[in-house]
Amino acid sequence: MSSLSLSPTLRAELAALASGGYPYESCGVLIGQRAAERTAVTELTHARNRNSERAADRFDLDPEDLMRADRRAREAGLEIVGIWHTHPDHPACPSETDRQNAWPDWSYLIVSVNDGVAGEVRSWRLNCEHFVEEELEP
Amino acid sequence: MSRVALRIPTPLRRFADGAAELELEANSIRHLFEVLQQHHPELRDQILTPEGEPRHFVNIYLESDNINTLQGMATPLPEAAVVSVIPAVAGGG
Repeated sequence: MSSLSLSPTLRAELAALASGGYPYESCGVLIGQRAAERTAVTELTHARNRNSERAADRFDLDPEDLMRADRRAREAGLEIVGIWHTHPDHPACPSETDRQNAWPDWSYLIVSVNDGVAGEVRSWRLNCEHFVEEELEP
Repeated sequence: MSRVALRIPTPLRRFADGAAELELEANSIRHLFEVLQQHHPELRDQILTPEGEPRHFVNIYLESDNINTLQGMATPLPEAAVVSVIPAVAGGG
């Protein structure tokens, strides 16, 4: 089973970003290092959601924000290891839309935000076109 | 001919023997992918359609500019240019 480590500081940062975007979906980039099945997130960024028509239940991460995150990661000797996004008033489980748009070898961290309060956080990775949950550490 | 860096995102590195970046010689974006075809044809096919246009789920940047805002596939490449392939990322619950 693969795992994703996210420090308490980054979890708090993620919760603040997730709550701040409510009732709309928020998204961003996970930067860190991967070693075999273990991924360590060392930094996360906030990205713009370009989907203004269905911002409450869809996200379309601005590619310019992704490019900036990629540049930042490479300059630090790191790489983009995944994407985070929120599910306002829905569980932290990937939807069919998430699955259809997912890329392999990235972690997909989902934050459930209920009534504006960030709650459950779960991480998923695509495996043969299906999402498999990762162990979230610590 | 310019020597340029092609930056590959993590999800596509499996098509480039795990490389994060390739150094290639080319004079335009279109030429760059023609050269890439010779070295990593599977990677080229992930990025471009058989007709040689960018697939809808990737974006191609020259430095900080999307090539769509430049001259598209005909965009010339200066020496030491950095070309980035950026995946389209979307979803929602």
